[in-house]
Amino acid sequence: MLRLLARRLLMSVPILVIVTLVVFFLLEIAPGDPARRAAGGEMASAADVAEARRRLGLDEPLWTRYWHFIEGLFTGDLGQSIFSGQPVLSAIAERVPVSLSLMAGALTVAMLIAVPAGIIAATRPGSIADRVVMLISAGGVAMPNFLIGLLLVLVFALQLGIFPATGYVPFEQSPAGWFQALVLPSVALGVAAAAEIARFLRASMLDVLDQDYIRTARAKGIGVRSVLGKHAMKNAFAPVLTVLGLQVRILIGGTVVIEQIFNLPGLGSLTVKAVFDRDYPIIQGVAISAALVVVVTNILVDVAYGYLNPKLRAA
Amino acid sequence: MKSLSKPTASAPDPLLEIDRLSVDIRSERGVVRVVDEVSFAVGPRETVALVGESGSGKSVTSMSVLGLLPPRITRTHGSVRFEGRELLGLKPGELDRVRGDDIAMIFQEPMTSLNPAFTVGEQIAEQVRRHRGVSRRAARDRAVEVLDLVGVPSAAERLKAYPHEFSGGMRQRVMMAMALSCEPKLVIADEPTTALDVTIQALVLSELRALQERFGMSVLFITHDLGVVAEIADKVVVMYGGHLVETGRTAEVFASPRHPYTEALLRSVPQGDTAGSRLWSIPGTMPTPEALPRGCRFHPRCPYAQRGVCDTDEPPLEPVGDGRTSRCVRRADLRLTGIGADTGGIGAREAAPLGGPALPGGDRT
Repeated sequence: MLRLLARRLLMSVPILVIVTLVVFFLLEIAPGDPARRAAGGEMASAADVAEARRRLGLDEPLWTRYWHFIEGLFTGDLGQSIFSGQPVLSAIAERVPVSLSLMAGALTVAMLIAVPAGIIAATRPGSIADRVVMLISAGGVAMPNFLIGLLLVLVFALQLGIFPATGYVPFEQSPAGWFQALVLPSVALGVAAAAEIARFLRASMLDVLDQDYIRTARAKGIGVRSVLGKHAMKNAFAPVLTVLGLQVRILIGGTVVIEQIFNLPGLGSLTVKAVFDRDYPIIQGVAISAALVVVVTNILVDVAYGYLNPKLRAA
Repeated sequence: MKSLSKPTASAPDPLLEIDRLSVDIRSERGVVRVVDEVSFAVGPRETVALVGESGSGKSVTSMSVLGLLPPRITRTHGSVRFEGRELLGLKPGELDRVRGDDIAMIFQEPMTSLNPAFTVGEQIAEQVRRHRGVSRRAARDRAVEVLDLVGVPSAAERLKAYPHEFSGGMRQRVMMAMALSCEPKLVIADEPTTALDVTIQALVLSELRALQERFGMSVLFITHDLGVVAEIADKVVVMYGGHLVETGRTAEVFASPRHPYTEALLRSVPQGDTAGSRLWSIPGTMPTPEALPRGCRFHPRCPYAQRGVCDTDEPPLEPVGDGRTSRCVRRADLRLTGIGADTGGIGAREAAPLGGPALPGGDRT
């Protein structure tokens, strides 16, 4: 198990190198001149622009700047926001808890819906329960998350007043407030993932329930809960993990929209603002953070795979 | 080696009593009856072999004892009593107390019948914990004990191994250990040796036999291999096309079958003294339950079939003396040849791998 973990960690190094390259050069070739923006836009004089360019280090050769960029990554110095002058690292650190809370919330919602739904659908294929689950999940996949978010706000915040419509409360300040603020955005973000995971779990479960070892488990008299929750689930969940990993990536993108709708001060809203401002250092920082989340997710998925499927541990 | 001398007349109440058991399976093409009014009993310490080709309904019969057929598409009629208690229609919770405890099952595919995601120790211990309510530790110790019993070497270490780390024969031993873990009164073994190679087959069989004698269990042995039957069974129950065609004590049925299908099955068992000659197989194939022939279900394949006699009415299963039954209307006119129980047993054991070229290995379940 440790060997598996070590190998996966090593494999993620080249991935991260490639990400830094892409992030750095993509922004390099993007239109718009950040030096001009920093100097005050179209109205700025050529001298002001040149001065801003020097101040930001944009006059140095490309490779030198890439090297500085990598050096910065290791020392935690990701530069400063061109706009506010705030260090990128602290800007991101401020907002990461919000986005991670939202993603964790969305995943929790997804699993809480998908696991029972998938099992119910798989144990009674063709039944009314199965059809209802499949229909709703088809809807969940098709419905864009911002629409779900707006509907949730309309019903649960504006009509019923159970949850706040917008805003965020840090966990340290009030755990209850934090939870309340996250419920609606988590549901809005998690429903699509729930639908996708439920469909995969159903298919995987149907396959597993046909296996001989399930018949053996039933013949042992250990009860239907153990047969489904233990013997079937551990086998059925491995293929679902792949989908779960993919869903995390989709969720990262989803946070951008959801954070806008619910006015959450997370990475998503930071990114949107940075893109409009052509705030390159911030965009780079966010992109690399997102890449890190994806890499860590992939490692977790692989380790979980090894736990679920003992044959993979030796491989 | 078999307790054939035991008088049947004074036999105690049967342990398992199957009475006019029928199983209907619902498919897209409608409802078909795959098991049709099957009745037989298994006494205490007795081994009964349920014999037939693939598709004869023998596996379905065995699975319905513990309610293992998918409930959505199957309907069971009749009665299955264990120690006088009706098992059909028991609530799942009540049935789970019988499963694995009083009645244990061994399945035919050792490669796929164990869960690949759990260690064998966990898979055995779990059953012990459930039925005996003992601690994890005690259950683990019991798992070591039974693995040791069935001849898995260094059982204590192998406890932590996963099924894929065992060979086919070893996995079947693990299955046997699991079945024995709660000291069942009845073991249902559904073709436990079919997927194994010859030497392992013989080993597993003798192991099963030894364990049975040691613990005094009853065994319901499902097989298509009459060679195995000669070796292990006190009584034999022959199924064809979903119903019984002949029943009786093994030695008598082997020596003088009363149904042409039994004779055909015996003929397709390779004999020790026929080396070099061509193996015989039953012509034609088993009818599907959707398209059973009129009259006797075996008559299209039967060499003795007579027009106007065998293809009109379905013959009933009738007693033919000595506690035997047969479903052949012409049984009185025919002189069917059997094989000596002794030579049959030995010959069949040696030739077990060739057990039945006409009898496809996999069984429809």
